[in-house]
Amino acid sequence: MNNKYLFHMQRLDANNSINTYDLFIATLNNREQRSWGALRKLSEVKHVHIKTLIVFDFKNEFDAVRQEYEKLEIRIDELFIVDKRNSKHDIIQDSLLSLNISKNATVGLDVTSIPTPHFFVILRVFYQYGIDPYIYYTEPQDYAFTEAISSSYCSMKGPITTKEVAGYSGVTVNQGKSNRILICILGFDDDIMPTVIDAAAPEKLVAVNGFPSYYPKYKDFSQINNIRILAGNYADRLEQGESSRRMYYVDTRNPFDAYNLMSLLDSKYNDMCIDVVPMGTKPVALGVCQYALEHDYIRVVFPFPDKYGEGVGKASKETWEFMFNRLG
Amino acid sequence: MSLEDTYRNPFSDYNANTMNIKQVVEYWENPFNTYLAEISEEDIKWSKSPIVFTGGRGSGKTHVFKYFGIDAMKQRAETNNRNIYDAVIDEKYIGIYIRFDGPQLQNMQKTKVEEEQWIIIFTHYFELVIAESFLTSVYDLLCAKSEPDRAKMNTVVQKYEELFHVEKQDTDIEKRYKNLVNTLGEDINYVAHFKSRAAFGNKDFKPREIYVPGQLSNTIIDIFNAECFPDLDINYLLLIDEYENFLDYQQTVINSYLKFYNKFAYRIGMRPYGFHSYATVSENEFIKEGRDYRECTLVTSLIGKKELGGSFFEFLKKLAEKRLRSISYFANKDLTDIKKILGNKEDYVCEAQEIVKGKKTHFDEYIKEIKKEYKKNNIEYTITDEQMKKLEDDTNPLYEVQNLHLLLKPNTYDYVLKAFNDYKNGIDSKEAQKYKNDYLNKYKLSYVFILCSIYKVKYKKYYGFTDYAFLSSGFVGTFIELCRNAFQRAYYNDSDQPFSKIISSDIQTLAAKDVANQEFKQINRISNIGDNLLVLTRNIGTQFRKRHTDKRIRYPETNQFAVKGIETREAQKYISAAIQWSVFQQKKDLQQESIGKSDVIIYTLNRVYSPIFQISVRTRGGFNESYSYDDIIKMATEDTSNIEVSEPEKTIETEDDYHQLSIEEYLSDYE
Repeated sequence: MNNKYLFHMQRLDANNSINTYDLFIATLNNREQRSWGALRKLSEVKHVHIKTLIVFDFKNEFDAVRQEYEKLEIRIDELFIVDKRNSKHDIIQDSLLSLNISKNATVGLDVTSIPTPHFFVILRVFYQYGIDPYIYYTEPQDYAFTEAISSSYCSMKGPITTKEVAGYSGVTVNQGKSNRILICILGFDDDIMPTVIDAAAPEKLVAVNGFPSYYPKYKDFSQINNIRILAGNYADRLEQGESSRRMYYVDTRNPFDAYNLMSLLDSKYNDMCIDVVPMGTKPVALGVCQYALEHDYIRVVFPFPDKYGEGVGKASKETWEFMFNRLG
Repeated sequence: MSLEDTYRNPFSDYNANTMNIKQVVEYWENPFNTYLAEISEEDIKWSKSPIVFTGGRGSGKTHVFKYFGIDAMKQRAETNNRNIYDAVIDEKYIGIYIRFDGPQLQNMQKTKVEEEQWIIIFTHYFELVIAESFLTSVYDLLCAKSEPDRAKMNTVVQKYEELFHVEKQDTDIEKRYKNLVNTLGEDINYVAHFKSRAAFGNKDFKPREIYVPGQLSNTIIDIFNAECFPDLDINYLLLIDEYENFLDYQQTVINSYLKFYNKFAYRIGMRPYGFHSYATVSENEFIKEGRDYRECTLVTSLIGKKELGGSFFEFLKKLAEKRLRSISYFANKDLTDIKKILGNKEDYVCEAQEIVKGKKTHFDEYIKEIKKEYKKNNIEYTITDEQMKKLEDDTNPLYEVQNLHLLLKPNTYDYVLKAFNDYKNGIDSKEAQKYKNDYLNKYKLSYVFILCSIYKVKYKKYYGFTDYAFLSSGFVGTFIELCRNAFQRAYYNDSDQPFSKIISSDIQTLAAKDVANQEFKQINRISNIGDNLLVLTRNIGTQFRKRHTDKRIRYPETNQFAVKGIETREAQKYISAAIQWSVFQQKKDLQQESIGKSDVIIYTLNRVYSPIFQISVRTRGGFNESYSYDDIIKMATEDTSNIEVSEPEKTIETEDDYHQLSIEEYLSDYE
């Protein structure tokens, strides 16, 4: 039977209709206040009940925010902190797969402060279980730039290694050919994309830019910071985008628009092996993730850093709730 | 025809990964006949022994490999109206190019699968990739025999179907062949799917067949050759690129192929120090250079010096000519000599004039130093303003700096004046000869750096074919990128009549800076160690910069360093990584650390960074900075830019001292 999908996207507020979560996952810290965005909003809803809350705490920050956690007006039956003290590989998969989550469970996932490759892995687990989680994302009030220039944005520090995201290895050969195309979802970091391109060595590139930017003052940053891809020494492999531009545009806030764009590009380049590197906003990455889950020939690569940036978003704005709803 | 129709940047498409096969052939300039004379094309085609090519990003490895691949051979045959089958008979080799990408290989580890199982999986995968690539590559050969022989093709297909355990599904031979290739493709994709599943608990590896070492790779050639070239000794090359991407255990597997299996002649491309392992699957067997493989570097550190076949300069010039000729805008105007577009070499006098703009601030700065020097040597400073005026030359500030420099040494005023006047007036005296030698052969560029420092000019200019060739640091890709950037800027600067004159030195300098900054920024992102390498490079570059702004010019154009003392693993880790990623380059042979000192290994920074540190792109020899291994560790972990450069033990003074050294890259056509 073919599954059909409708999308669900709304602002999370006191009118939220979900009262009980069997499982809720978040990363909570005091570097980015918006890591608490979804839970705070849920606090405003009366009688919200979370049976199991999992906090991924890879930087061992939870103890510092425990007091704040205890102030949440949410009934939480069990709290699990997943950290690296008992360091294992595949810690995310291991911790979730050990839970034996029911297919009918109501699951919430706040991706705001969870690094993109990590939430890709989490969603892969849920996909394997047949679960469609409610996904939450809180927009930043502003972004953190260490200096007053666009190139000072830094979501990843130091050395990076480009790897396939676990569970998204795609294919090596397509219709007898191994030519690859890399879909670059542009972000603000100005020196990362070339490293990814050199590692993946695709024959062709597609540039995708989020639009509109969260704030008018940022509208050109991703283009300026990716000038090498768009007009520099990587531009010779850039594919034509929309309306004679060498770029596609995707709604920054809407994962479903990203999903649709992936569908369009998949059709256009269906004779190539397709890779995607989801820099850019989390909602866009979410749409890419969902598409890749459903089309396992899509490979997702990501620049894994030694360290993520300290906190790239400042304060909190809207919290959104998304779901890719399978009807079958 | 409009400009838009005829103009395209001739230096775009510089990455061989993205070039189409026509460009691979069209842009090919043979390095083995010029600056890489240690190996010949014939060696590459016909040697049965494995050959390892080392070179960093931009060294041309991929281009070389693709050129020797069968697709390029087909392209050449087509251009010459020849049948590919006949071309193989003439050339007596078939090259199969394979590139395994890093992200794919990185994920073939852990995820609760034991390494022993990964070895089996990877070997199986390796066999499949070789087989699939081989079948895809030779299909045209099977169809292109001068006398079509369906029976022979049928025999090949049948034998491959038996080898791969694929059922005959059609009577049509082409369809059966395609089915073979598709089946192998699906088998390869099974491994990718396994990787995805294994990370989430499903570790069952149950492919259609599991292939062991040599099972396919040893047999596919025999089957094909027996039918297509039965009486010929065709050399089958397996060109494996980016060997450094393989994990340790993966290299162990492939090393075993190099040592034990010789149906293919292996050609391996990798960065320096790309071997993570020399082991093989046999516990007591290792591969060793000389015995099991031959190594050849694709990068020369001798930019200007002529090798047996020619110099890197000549190579770049010819390569540029090919690219320019391929664009009608340049071909139609007969603008195919890159030296005519970039200029040949720098004009230091003109640069100096632009820096000083008629001012004499350099006199003030030097007089302060001269007075200090005289006081130190208990000499009374009695030079009057009028006397100083005789050392001026409004047409050439570099003469002025030379005169001041000579006074600072210290030399007497009378000596300096005589030397200057004799030189200018063409009088053949000993003083004039020394003056000429100092000016032309030793210090001229150094004076420009001094003026930049005194007048606080933000950027020294880098322009001209010679500078660009040196900035490339032996990497063809860097030269092409410099040109691409300069041409792009020149075109946008004057899109009505681009290239009607030499691209301005300002534009070329901007291009050089831009490329330098891009390359420098990428250091930070080098896997595992980038942040340390960035700090290390910055610290060493800063030390070189200080030498360049030394008014005494004790060590002109210092841009090399030695590391000596008791080696530590941590320091060596930084040095090896820096070489692997082409941040440093190691000189081929041992050289004197400095005059009168013992021979050591000498390193340079990649010259592309020169605009960042405002240092010379050439190498003058004589003095090299010297660090201990502990210094390297310190410089990789702390900012040492405030540390003063050490006082010299001896200043290089005499012409004889200089001529005793082996001065590399000394340009005979420079002056």
